[in-house]
Amino acid sequence: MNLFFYGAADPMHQFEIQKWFELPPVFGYDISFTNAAGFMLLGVVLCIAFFGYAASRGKTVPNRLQSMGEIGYGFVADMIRGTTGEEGLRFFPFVFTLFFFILFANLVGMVPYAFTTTSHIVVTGLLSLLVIAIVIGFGLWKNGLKFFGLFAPSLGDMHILGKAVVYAILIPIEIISFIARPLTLSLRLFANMLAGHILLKLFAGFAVTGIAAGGIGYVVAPLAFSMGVALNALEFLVAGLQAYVFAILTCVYLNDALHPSH
Amino acid sequence: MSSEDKSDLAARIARAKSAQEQTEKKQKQRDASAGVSAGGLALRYGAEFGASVFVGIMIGLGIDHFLGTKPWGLLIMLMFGLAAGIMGVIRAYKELTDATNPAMSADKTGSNPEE
Repeated sequence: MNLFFYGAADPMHQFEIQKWFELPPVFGYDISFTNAAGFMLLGVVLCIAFFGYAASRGKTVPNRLQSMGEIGYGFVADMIRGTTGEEGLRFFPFVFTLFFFILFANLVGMVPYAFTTTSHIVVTGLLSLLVIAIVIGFGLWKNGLKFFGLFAPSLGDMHILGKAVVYAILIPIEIISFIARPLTLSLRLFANMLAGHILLKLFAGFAVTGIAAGGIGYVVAPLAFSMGVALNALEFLVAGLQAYVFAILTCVYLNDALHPSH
Repeated sequence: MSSEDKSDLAARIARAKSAQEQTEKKQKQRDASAGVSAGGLALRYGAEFGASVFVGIMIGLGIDHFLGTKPWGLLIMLMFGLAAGIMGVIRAYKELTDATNPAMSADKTGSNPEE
């Protein structure tokens, strides 16, 4: 009982990885099925179920779910068109999957006692590495060595010596900011989800311990509880917004791969 | 009398229309800046700056490790990292102002903030 209470009050407890069932190690790696894997799978299954249902009817006058699916489709398509133009639509399946995977992971994490997979930098880091790998791979495949023009923005008319000096400073800076991209991309999603869920848990914990403590706790508890309710609403906003930010930054980076010359 | 009434009505319709446009405009701006709280902004700029400096330090340490040019690689790449960090923050700021206030960036069309 005591241990249970401690686990419930500790704001970091929700981020612990727990093995649901053990699997034999492969090449020395522990591939046991954890709660992170479980909730990711849940998000994917919910996503497939949602779009499977939304797309299965195909009525001319859509019902609510079909309408939601269609709006989601149009939303991502518009986002790609707006940032990369029509030719970026070849990445539509990738960006669409990415957006809805993150959105569903965030929203599943909003259910009490659920595990938020996007609050782990392993997950967000791998997603952003995937994005950057596609940007580099596609950029090199489509543009060849011109892709590296990304690091050398055109300077216009300038003396050759001046150009050399400016490029000597500018190219390392551009390379560093390019390498920093996957870092910021993953860091933003991870930090937002982590901080939000810790705050939620903290205020909820204050409410519970305030009631338990009595005295001034009766004043603190309602305040903390109303704060928790407000934060809950904010977290839903953040869940959607961060999925959107991740997807739109992916589009911006893909745009660099499509048109590397500035 | 009736023509006066009509012109009055037309004026009122125009006023109501402009008022609605105003509120719609404001609503749009609010939508664009929704979720851009001070904390989110701090996190965004902080991540942008910190990540670039971190990458610069890591590259510098790598150069020193493989070429044996200890402290110089770190010192120089740290400076580049700081510069890249400041550039990243400026870009993030530009992106944000472009998103929340398109009218202000209309005069410099084609200047993609990521360029």
